[in-house]
Amino acid sequence: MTTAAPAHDLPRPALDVGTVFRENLPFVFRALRRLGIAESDVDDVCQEVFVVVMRKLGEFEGRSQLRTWIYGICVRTASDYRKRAPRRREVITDEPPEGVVSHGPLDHATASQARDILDRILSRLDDDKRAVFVLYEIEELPMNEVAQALECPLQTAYSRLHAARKRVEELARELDPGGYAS
Amino acid sequence: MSSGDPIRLREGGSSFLKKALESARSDVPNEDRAQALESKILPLLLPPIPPAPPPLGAGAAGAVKAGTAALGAKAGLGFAKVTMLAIAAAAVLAGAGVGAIVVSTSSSAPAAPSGIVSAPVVSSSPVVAPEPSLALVPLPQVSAAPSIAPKPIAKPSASVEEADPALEPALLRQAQDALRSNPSDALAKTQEHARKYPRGLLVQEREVIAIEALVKMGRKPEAEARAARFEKSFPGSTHARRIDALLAK
Repeated sequence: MTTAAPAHDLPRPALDVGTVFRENLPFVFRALRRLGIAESDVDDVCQEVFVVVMRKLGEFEGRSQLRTWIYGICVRTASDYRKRAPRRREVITDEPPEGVVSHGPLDHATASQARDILDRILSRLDDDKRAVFVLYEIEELPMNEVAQALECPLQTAYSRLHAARKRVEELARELDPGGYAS
Repeated sequence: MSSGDPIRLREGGSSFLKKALESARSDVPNEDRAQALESKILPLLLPPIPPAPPPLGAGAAGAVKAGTAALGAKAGLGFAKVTMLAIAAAAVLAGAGVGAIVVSTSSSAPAAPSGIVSAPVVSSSPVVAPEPSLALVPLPQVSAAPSIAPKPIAKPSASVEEADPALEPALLRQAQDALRSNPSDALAKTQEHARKYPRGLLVQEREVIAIEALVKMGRKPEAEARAARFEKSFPGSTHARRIDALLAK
């Protein structure tokens, strides 16, 4: 094998099911949650993503990183999910609230409450902007990989990110009076 | 980050966004959850299935004879004998729906919880009833009768017009401020919020204020009923503990 060999020419160990699963599960799980998959459904949708990944792994051409390719599958699977269950609300977290409970609900948000609010803000974005925002701001992919994952021109990805950030910041600012979002 | 990429909000955003994005970034399954997912999913995964199966028509999943392809798949906890999972993949891809694929396993080695799977039977029957659609709408005044079973918050009409979202936090801030001196007014403010912002971003916070107001007004059964509805509508909410504390007073 040569280092330039496309992924489909790689020997079997490179496509080891267990390795692909374990290395990618954390970010698949995280991305799906922020892409709007309810906590109660995330296990099933993770399964759906990995079934697609394993089924199509032979078609993966190595033009992008495997991770980027899987992110693309996550985005499309999450989009399909939302179309199937457009009204399904997102269960925010299983975690107990952090810290003391003497604050009112509009006082300083804990980390998990801030994430809860972020999820609600993300639910206000359209699919394209949400995907760019999640991949860049949370998954921290470079923009060229974001564009690859979403199969769109780089400039389009930048435009979507700009619009998404503007909207997210607007919504976050709206929550700021009284220090709730500070 | 590529050289031309903008600074991420986690580094250059508001303190709220930094906190929220940090929290989102750390939201990965813990070890137990990852292990459970691995046990559940890994046995179902096949090495690449060469030719894509023909598309399944609606309802055809149960009728499709997808010949079994028994093979050994190295699972994280051992070797899993996986039988015919291509149909599961096909059914998933055919959009059978979340939770609609059942892979019944009759383990030939029951002592191995790691997922030794034999002859899975794939059914297209839904296993999980669709979660009731929940949305953020005004809660009607609850009855004082505590025996009423909690119901999730109903779906708002699509035609509901919301007030200026920029004013939503201010209204709830007024409600919260009123809690100390005038819980009745606080409750009225939450009702105003419910009318104006049925899909507001702060519906959970509104409900917490309303529950606290009811407790302070001595209307505990109503507070409990409202709390039960909250729990049903927002399972796992970060406000659950606070509500419990309010009701314990």
